[in-house]
Amino acid sequence: MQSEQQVNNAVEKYADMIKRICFYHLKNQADTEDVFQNVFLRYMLHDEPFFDEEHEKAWLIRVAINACKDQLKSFFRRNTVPLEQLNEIAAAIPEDHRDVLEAVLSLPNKYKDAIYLHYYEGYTASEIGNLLGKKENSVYSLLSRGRALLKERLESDGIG
Amino acid sequence: MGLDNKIQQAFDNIQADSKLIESTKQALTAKRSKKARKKTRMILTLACMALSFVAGMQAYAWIQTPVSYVGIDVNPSMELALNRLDRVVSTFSYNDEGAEILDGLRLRGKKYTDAIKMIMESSTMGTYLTVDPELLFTVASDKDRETTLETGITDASRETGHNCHSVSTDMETAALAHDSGLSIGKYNAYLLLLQYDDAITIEQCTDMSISEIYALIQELQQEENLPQEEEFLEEELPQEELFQEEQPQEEEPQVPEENIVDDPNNISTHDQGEQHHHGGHH
Repeated sequence: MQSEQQVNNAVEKYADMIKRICFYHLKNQADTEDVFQNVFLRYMLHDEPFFDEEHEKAWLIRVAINACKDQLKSFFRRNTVPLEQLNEIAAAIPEDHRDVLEAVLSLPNKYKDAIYLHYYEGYTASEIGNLLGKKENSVYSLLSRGRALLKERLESDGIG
Repeated sequence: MGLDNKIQQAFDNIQADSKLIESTKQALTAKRSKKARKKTRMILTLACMALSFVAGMQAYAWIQTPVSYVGIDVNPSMELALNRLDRVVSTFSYNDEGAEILDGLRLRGKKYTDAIKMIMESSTMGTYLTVDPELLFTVASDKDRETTLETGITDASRETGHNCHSVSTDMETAALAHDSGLSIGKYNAYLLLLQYDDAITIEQCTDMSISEIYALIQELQQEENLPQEEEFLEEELPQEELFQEEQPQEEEPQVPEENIVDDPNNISTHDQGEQHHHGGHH
């Protein structure tokens, strides 16, 4: 089990990242809170040491993505609309940013992780491959196809 | 503005609010202490279980440790091991006849007096007692218990209508008897016989019934008590007390004799041809 200090540090440090992963997977605030807590609980109970910060971060990303997927599989969570979460926090977000987020959320699930990890977290295709357990080439095609879809959607909205 | 930057900026808007962070920290702290409590409780439970297990084992060992033995010899030769509560913890038989009797009885856990009554009243034992009414009980115990046990045994035997003799010995002798494979009753008799015939072996005693051994002892005693020439002319070996019958011990001035020094039980020598008739083990 990680010490209380370690856990609190990790919560402070990775809160935004976990929240973002939850955001683009999940459909409402309640699910996000559940998964958010769950990820850090798993972190707290994790017994093996992390080699370095990168290792810790990658571990958290993997756990968060899996936790989100598990949450989506849950029967009781299925019947909500995809953009609800965005609507819940929409007021604080400028219009053009909101369009980009909407476009990302409207992507098929398989593109979202690669797009987020590459464009926001700055991971390379091979790193993303390691994280998601996919081949580097698959990540490349996910990225280029995702990017094309995003462009398409944003252009049809008259932005970009 | 490129797509990369747009995505960056858009996602920057998504942040974990302090409420979420604080509630998560609290939830984790609560889970941690709950887990710690659970762990403590688990450790306590395990410790308690281990403790009661050890205590149970100790109690079991205490109750199962034989502290005294009661040998029963007619022709069937058997032995009861008694615990501190004078209850039977195990039984042994030293010959087939003994095994036959013990086979039909469930004596474990019984009070020794009840066990003896059960043995005496069993039909197999009845047969042997009719043929060979010599009944010898040998008690091996510590000094505190000895008298109580002997009295209990004699009473139990009388209640079933059989007279008996009882001798007692100590636990060391019992241990030696067990090592030699003889019942304590026979081993005691063997030790006695050894005083008169140092050529006798344990193997020979194994094949003899208790009454045969005592008959032999008596015979040898009488032989030695007869006035003899040469070295036995001057003195006689004293009669050994077989069954602790009351008998005045007449201490005579001791005549140093090298042929009796190897007999530790020889407490007195009689140079006047005096005989103590103890009547064997009847």
